[in-house]
Amino acid sequence: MKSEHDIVIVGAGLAGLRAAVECADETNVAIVSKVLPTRSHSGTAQGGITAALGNEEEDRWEWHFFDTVKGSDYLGDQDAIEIMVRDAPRAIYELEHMGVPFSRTAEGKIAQRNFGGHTRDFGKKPVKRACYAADRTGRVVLDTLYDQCLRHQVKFYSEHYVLSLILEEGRCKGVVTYDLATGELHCLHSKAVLLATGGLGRIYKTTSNGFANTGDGFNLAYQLGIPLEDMEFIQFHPTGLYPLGILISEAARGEGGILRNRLGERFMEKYAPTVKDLAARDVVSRAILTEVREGRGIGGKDYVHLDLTHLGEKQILERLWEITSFAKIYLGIDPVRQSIPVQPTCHYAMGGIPTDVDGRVFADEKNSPVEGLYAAGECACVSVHGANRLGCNSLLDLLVFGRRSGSTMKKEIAARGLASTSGDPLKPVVQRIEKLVNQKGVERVDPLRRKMQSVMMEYGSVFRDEQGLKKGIEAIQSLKKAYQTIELVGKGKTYNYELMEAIELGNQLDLAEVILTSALHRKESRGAHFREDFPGRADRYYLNHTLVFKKARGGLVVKYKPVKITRFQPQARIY
Amino acid sequence: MRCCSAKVLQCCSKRVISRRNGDTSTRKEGNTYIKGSNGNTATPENSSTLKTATHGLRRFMLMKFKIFRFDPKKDEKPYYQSFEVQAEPMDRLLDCLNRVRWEQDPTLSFRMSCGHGICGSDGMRINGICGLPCQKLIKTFKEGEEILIEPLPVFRVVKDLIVDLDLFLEKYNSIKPYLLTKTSPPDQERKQSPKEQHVFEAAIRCILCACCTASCPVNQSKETAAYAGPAALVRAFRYLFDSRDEATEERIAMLDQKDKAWGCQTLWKCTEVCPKEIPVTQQIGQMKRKIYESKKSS
Repeated sequence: MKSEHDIVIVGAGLAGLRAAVECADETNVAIVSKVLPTRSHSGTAQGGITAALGNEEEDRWEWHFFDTVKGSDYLGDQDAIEIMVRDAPRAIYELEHMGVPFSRTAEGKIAQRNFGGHTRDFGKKPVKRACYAADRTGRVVLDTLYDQCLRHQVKFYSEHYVLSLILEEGRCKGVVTYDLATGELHCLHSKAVLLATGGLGRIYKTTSNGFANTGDGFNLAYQLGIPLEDMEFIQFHPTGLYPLGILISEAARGEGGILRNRLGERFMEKYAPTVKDLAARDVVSRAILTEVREGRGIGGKDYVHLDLTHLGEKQILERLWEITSFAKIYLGIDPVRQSIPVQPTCHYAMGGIPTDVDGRVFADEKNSPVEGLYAAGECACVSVHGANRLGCNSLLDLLVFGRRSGSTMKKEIAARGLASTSGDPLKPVVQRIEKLVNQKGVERVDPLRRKMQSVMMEYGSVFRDEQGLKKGIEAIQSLKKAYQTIELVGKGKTYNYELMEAIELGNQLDLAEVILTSALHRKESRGAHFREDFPGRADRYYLNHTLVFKKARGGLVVKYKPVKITRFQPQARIY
Repeated sequence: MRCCSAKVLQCCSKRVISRRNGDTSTRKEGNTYIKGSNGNTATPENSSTLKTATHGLRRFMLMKFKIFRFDPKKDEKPYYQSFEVQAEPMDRLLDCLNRVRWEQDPTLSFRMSCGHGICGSDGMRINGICGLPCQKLIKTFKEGEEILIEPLPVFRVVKDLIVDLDLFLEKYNSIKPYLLTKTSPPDQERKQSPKEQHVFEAAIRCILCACCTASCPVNQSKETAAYAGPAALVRAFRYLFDSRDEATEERIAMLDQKDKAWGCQTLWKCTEVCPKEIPVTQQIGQMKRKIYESKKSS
């Protein structure tokens, strides 16, 4: 089947929906998602959205600017960060006007809470900057934006999995999708395509990410020779519910929760004397794992306690209802009376498809744009998060750059007709699917995936070194070989999830290799990338963004491009 | 005693619960390791957690499942298929279904996404009651008891446990699930007191899993199938009672119909099954009262 639209957006999370809302009135927009509406993973964001509204206490966008730059360990591009933080209050008020049910202050304003790395006066003490709706902020924003899309009659292709981008003569002309319900391939022609497919956490064994977060968007671009930027920076959120890895929001610490080791010590006092439990995530995750390594995990094991018991039942149930229910359902623990066992969990990819501040995708280190192709959200790298993202800056990123991408696409397609395609874009995809479905082999999807997840946990998580990364790359390469001989049991066309997961696994293995290769080449420690063999930051050599390209004949090429510094020169990063 | 099994916590937390029920909870439980009461049973070779098994402390339960199967492309009619899974007490029911799919029969189809009760993808009927398998732990079932897994009722089955939710979303859309305002917004936020926000706060927990609508006898009955259903009405409640909304009359007129608010026969099934503990029936009742009062005063 063939369809034509002005704009095709891949992904129905916050970035995709926000972009759609921006252009739906004047253009014909379609959203493609491999899940049903409102199932996207943005919905699981809990704690809030940053904006220096100053509703609870004095705050300034300049402080937010500084915190984000410092949080990024000086790898974020400061021109982009400035755009984001200055636009933040507008983005929040806009959501409020759309109907997002934010929690409120006594005066009826949007309530704000503390979060890791959010400070006043350039790092002096914590500030309340996170605008929240209890601990279900992502879900209510997702619902509200979906409702806005319904209002604007945006076309949804739900449960359609995008298998390739149609790129001809350097221009993106649409996408090829696989309809999960029927097994049919569709060709969606368009003047612009926005990739907003979210994260890739499922490459790791312990993750807060949903089953759908398999990095598809990253790979769609990468396969076409578009580089991936800063992929070594994978955020481990300090407080995943042990042992499942489900997110326990930083809001728990923002509300006053304290991390304690086996001895009951508030160990963050040692690692971040000024802001303690509210340090940036990479700092807290390393602190937890250092405690564990030194035998102060609970019972000598690999988790610590998050203690909320001093907050009182009222505050916990009003502001942390969801995480309380997680602890009760999954561990039988009531956070009002008992500490919650937590461990770092793979949460967020700071890197992604390189874009400018208007979502245009860059094809190389010279920032040459790819006509008709845009990216926003977690799969994109603007880069506002650099080497480590601050909590609540992700939703802001989605809203600000989702909107900017939508608005840019709307403007640029006005002068751009629907291009005809020279070949048959479906043909190579049909061949690929047929080969995968019919090939005989010895491997199955699930065991290979488990092996990949273990390899990434062992060699590519919080602590890394050269030897481990090399072993990891070898292991992933041998898994890629094994992947060539997988055989599918199910040949059916209706909801063949085995086929979808096989394709996902192919994407994941490629991305795993990119992550480990980027990490191997960065011989310094910065933000979420910590090299035990190079524990210091080396600005002289590495104040650069990594770019990994796939070579046409196999193998990878690593290049670099400089970081944009406008206002804050790199300095030691102490919390 | 020190123990290096990462899975010991599962035994511990089991004890923690029983102690909590006995109201002798302390904050030290996590530090105290209690040996599992029985030895190991056979462990599945491909269990993702096998590496952590030590000291025979892990306990496995042999779980039996009877799962609804139907592929309209090849089956004349639906049938049930039995599976057995070695599960740990703290495994989610969803983990077991995934193990069936990944290790025994990859053709089994069901939806899932976040795995922890936020996305609302995996609504299904478990032993006859609609719920989310990602929220059910194996330890809440009896070992050896056969667990019956079926798709949500009310909706058309597309394959196995997957149902067609188009009608559900259409009904949801029909109640105008967005803020309607007439005045132009201020430069900053519209003000709303915590008390005003609290009125509809429970309703915003809704994740559109459709368990309520599937469980509603009114929706289940063919004669009254046009009823909008509890999920749509919860969202209608959320906007009707939002102090910022300026279309109360329009909303009341829309809801004052036999297939909308008055379709509810106060049977409480929705409230019983809601995975987010929303007082659905009460909210529909409040909505009916508001409609009634507005008519009385007009």
